Amino acid sequence: MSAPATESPATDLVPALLREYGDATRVALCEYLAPREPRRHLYSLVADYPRRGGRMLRPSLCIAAARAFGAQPADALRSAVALELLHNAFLVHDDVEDDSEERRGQPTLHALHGVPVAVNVGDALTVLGLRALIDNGATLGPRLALLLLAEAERMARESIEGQAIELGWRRDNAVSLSDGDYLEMVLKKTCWYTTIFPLRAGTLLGTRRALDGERFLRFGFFLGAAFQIQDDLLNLTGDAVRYGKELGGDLWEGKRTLMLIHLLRIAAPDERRRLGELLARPRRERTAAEVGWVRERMDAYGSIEHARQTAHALAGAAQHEGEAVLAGLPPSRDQRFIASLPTWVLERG
Amino acid sequence: MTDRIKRPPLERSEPIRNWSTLLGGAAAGGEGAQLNDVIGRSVDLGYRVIDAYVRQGQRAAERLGGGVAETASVTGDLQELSVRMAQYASELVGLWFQAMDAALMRPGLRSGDGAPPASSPTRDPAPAPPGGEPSGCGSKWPRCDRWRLASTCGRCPTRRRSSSIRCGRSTPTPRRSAPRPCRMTTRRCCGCACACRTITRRASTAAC
Repeated sequence: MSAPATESPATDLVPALLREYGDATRVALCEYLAPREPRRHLYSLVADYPRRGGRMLRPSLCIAAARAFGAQPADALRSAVALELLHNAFLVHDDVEDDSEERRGQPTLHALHGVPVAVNVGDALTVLGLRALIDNGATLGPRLALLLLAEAERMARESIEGQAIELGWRRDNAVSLSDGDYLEMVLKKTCWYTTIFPLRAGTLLGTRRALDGERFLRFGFFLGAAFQIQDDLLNLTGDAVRYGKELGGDLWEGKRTLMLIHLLRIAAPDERRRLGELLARPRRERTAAEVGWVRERMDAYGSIEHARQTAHALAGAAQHEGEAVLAGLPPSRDQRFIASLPTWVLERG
Repeated sequence: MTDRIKRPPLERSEPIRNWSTLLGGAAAGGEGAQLNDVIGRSVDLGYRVIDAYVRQGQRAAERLGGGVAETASVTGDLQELSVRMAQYASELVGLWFQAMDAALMRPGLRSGDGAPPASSPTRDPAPAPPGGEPSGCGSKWPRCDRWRLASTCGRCPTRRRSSSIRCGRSTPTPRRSAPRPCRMTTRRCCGCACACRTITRRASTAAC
């Protein structure tokens, strides 16, 4: 009988590559965050969110996918930078739309500087991301740069549509949602820019050919959905310092997470009515006691456990799909990194 | 009498068959069946969601294509579209460089911002014709350099008829209603070092 492995790729390889590719992306990011006028209300603020840190999962996945398919690391760097800039643009706007108070351990941009300035900074981050994609033309040629641009347009459009769905639920105080509704929203809002686009962009960079339309859709969906559900769980149960966002913030915002959808579905009628009334009110009119009551009801009805089991199931499906899409690749550190992500997504704290 | 050395009791006596426990999910006692239900339903739901999404895309492709959308035909369409996009992009890049050349001839307009300028390694720095550049030429006729180069070359078939046109200043209305870029077929284009051959080479490479 062989001795059990003391090293797990999820706990060792994934953090190591996230650090390595994340550092490379941060260095390249500086080129696009160089201060210039107007500084005070724009370019000094543009660098704020990117410099607060982050796991760099998306750019790292893009670089790893590119290398797994045979590209040079430098080929993927601008696309990784573009993705990180677009991600930060989404975060700035997302925080405004959700009226969040904290991001990465500090007050949100609109809390510090007001909504108008924050929205404009988000727009600037979007344009800088576009700039990075256009700059691909110089090193990758116009054809490949255009294909990447087309993929990025698809990713941005899907993300915006997913966000619109979620905002619509909150605006209309939707209380009769299903797990399928949640997964459809997450597919568009989160999976496209967290997992599907980085994988597809990396494949484009490595193969230099137009992609099969369905490539990486299933793997990216299951991985991204497991990632998002785990993120929602950490918002309620995670460590405040490591999580980096306001704990319980999703409850305050009335965000339709899988846990809240489950609770709305199986709670007793009077509790469901009380919950609906609470969600209909804006954030500033909710009290800590009410938010605490919602959290307690989630525990009582097993909503947290339901979400945890769903995340495990989707991660398992991601692992299965990952084996299929990565099967033809030569063994490499990057291939193992991608294959280990379903496990890492669940184990991260 | 010494005690015999005994192996400590094993943690388990049978192989792990419940794969759902591999990722750390709880599977204790009677909850195992419930857990499997949740997991099975979640996986099934996930596949239904993504398959419905893919079918939506196929239906959209059918509406655009007007026929049965098979993966191969969709891929082929995408490839053809990419080739066309690359050809247009090559033309646009050529025009852009000419516009930049014309703009950079004017003092004080050289770029100094932080963002790196896009540059193409295949750009052919064609020699300027004798007599210097006429002022204001580039702003009026962005393609003026290439035309005059072609007229200097005199062999490029697409420029043969317009070789008398020296500069947009002298002929505000060219023989054709609008200047036409040299179309890219290496057989037709001459082997001279004019910009049209550069465009041709770049477009041919982009079409691969």
